[in-house]
Amino acid sequence: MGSRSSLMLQDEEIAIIQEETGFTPNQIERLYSRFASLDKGDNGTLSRDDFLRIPELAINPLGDRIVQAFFGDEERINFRHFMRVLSTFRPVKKNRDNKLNNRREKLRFAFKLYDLDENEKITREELLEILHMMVGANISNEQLASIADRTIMEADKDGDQCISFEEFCNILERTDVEEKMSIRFLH
Amino acid sequence: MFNFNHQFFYHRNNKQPVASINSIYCFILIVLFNCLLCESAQTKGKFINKLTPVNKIVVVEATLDLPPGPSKLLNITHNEIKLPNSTSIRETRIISKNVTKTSVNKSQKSKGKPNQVKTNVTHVDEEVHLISWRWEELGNYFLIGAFLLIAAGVKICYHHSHTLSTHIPESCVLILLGTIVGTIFFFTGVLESEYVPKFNSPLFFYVLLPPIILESAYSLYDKSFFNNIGTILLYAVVGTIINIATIGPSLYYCSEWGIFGDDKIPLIECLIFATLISAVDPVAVLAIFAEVNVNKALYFLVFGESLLNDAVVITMYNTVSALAGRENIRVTEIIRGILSFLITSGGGVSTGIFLGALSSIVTRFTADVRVVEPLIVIVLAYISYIGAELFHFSGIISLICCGLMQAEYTRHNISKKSYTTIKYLTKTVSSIADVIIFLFLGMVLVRDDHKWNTEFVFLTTFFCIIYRFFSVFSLTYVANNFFQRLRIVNFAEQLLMAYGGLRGAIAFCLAIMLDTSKISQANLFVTATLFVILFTVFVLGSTTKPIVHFLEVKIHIKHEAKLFIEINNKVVETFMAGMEEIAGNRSANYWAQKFARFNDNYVKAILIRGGAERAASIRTAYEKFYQGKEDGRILLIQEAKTTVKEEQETIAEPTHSKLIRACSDGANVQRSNDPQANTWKLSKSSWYNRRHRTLPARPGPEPYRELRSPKKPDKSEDVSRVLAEAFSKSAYYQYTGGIHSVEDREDKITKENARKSKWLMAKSKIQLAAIASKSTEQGSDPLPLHSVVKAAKALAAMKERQQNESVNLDNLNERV
Repeated sequence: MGSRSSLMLQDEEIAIIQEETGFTPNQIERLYSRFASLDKGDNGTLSRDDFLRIPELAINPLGDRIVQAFFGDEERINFRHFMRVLSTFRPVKKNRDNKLNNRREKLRFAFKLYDLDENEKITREELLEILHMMVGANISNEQLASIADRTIMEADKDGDQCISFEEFCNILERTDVEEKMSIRFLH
Repeated sequence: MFNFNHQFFYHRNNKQPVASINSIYCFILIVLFNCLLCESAQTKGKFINKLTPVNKIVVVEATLDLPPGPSKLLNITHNEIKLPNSTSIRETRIISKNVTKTSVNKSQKSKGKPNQVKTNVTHVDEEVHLISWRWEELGNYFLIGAFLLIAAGVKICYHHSHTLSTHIPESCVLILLGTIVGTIFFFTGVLESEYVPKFNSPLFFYVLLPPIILESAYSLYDKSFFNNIGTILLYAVVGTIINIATIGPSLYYCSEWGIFGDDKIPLIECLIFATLISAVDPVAVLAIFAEVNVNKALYFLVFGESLLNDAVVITMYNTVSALAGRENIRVTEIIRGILSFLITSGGGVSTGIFLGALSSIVTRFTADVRVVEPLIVIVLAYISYIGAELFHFSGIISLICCGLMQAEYTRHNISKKSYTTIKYLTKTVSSIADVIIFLFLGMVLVRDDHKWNTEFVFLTTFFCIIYRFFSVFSLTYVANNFFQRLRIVNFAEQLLMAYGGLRGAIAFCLAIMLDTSKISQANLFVTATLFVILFTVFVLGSTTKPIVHFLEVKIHIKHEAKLFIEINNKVVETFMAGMEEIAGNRSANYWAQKFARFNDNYVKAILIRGGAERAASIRTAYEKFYQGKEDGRILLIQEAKTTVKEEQETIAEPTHSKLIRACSDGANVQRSNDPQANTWKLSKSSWYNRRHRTLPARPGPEPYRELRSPKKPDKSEDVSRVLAEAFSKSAYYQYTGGIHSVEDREDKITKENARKSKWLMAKSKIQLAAIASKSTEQGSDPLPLHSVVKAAKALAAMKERQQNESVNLDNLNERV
């Protein structure tokens, strides 16, 4: 698989992706082979189905949010798109500033997980939904509602009963979220 | 002359013995006696009482020196025996425990009369016997118990005294206390008493150290440790070698220049000393870092380093000290030394892995005998330590490996109670061992063979600190730049790591093990070691806390942190688990990934009870499930769901709530993790709607508004705790076994549960697919609501059958 996929990947394409995302050529080739192995139809693009065939993803409670994060409005994504999304999760390195994988971008990505309707606000309903996905029926609706209320209350500074992106960043200020949202891509 | 062990039998209860019984004894005795006496002079004999119930008999054994030649002058009455002339009594001993006093009258021996042995056995009845003093027999055990009690008492006092525990590290207090006790003992001379437990290296290495290492090994089993293992090994192995290789020669050159006076210290002795002084002590380090509560990654860096560093130091110590006392050391010997270092560590690793695996295999068969589980686990761990030491391998490395193996595999075989027992037993024993070590350390401080050399002591301390800083900073540079570390070890943390190089019990123990005949400066070394220990523990140890605050090192965030952070952590973890899966990049490197697969497929199958068939059944279920996708079954389920959605709007409320009740019982797994649902091609808005619908406990978004107004958000219960519990109970976390959760090392859900729920999940999906496909085969084009309700009910029933493993998955598959 590896040799075939690296043949299919043109050098100039690698260069472009490298420029855009900051991945090394090795990483790009490795990820390309992963991309190709996910691409069951061999048509150079991935569909939502291709993602959901990954068993771990299928049972992941946030599975469809993840897919949604990848696809946005599109039906299929190509390799460049795939790499652009993944590059958000490159580890943050000092001195090597990249506009795609800095802390704020990572936080933006996390924020989008909650903010489904993309109105730049996490509403109480959106939060409850995420909570529901995460805990299943292990917690009663009343409790969940009270948790959501509390959470909003904690984070909400301007009193609009929603968490804006700025409030989101503020509350996560002292956490190591950028470490958590990093993947050690193989060289 | 020959020795004779003679036993006299007495009837205890009657002062006037029953004539018949007694005469029989006497008869037998005399017969035997005479027989023996008639034999050759070399004969040794011993009579053993097999005649009567022991509790009726008082047995006194006397060793007599009889004159040569046959003699039949013995005369035994019930409490007196007459021996022939010139017989001397070597010793008498009471065999039976029921006798309190025996006096043997030897006075007549010198007068040349027939020797009379008077055995004045006091026949005491039970009620008088109630009080007696048996210090000789039991004093040792009693003192051990008392010592342990004191150790526990000290711990209690320390933690109850608030000012003490906030300002001074525990180890300092213990050393001080030990010094006080030691001083008292020293001046009262109690130290000479044979009953006072003494600190020696066997006690330390074979009794006190193993529980500490085992406890540490169990708590090493953490994601943070495995994430940082490369860096930890770098610090522990390379760092220690750098320390040894710099401290040793530095001291040697100082001594050559005459800084330490006229005594020149040979290079090899300097190296030995450098080795033992490089031992960073996990006990001291842990005691302080656990109190300071630094962030997890740093904690495991320091903890792992100090633990593995000991193993390195001890093996190095053995290697180097084998070379001590030689006149000239050849290259081959150095090579042999390096080889022996490798063999020692390699042997330790394999011994540990072997015994760890053995303990898993043994516990596979203990499902009916849960009581022996803790014993097996702990004893096998101990044996891994001693067994490795038997072959001169590294016991510490072996024990660490064994402990990690047990945490990975054995834990799943034993019951929850056994697990708790083991956890707390090791915790208790190791914390008491800590206390004892520090108490002893204080006690041994007070002794009279110290050899003080100011220059040497201070230079040693100086070198220790300087080179520690040097090695930590240079190695961190390597780790940060050449290892694929996600997390850069920042300056403050490096500083703290270097600062945390506390010396302790290991260094001390190795120092007092020094052989004075081989190493000329042994006493100087002991004194210097003690000084370095005291300096690091007292000065560095007690200033660590302020320094942590000053440097603003990230503190381990605890649960009192904000609710949203907690939620977000879980969301991000779950999300990243999925992301890594997409990137095909689960673990840091290829081999680790290979190993993980091998581990899941083969090792766990062998070592964990039921691991094999469970893994296989899950796999087949998944295969079936994904194949099912092709022949349209999945689509059926999707259709079923859309139907539910559509019909939801039209059906009457009672039916609706019935459906919801049925669903919410069984389908919570289904609801959030349902992969089939994900394959829908939906516009964003319908996707959003579907999300709402797939939470069956509520029909639409409206009820939330109702819920919100009357509910008081504040309940007395700890919301955060509830949430954490719910997270840990949710199907996904059961499935991942909390691997992605960094927070709760303490109560990680067992993998057994995880497997069960994974299996169940697969089962329920298949069940749903089966019902859906069946109902469509029957004809009617839109799936009728009642069949979906049936499916949901079946799912609910499935959950009830959760414990019942007898439902065979294969049957289920066939039905599908």
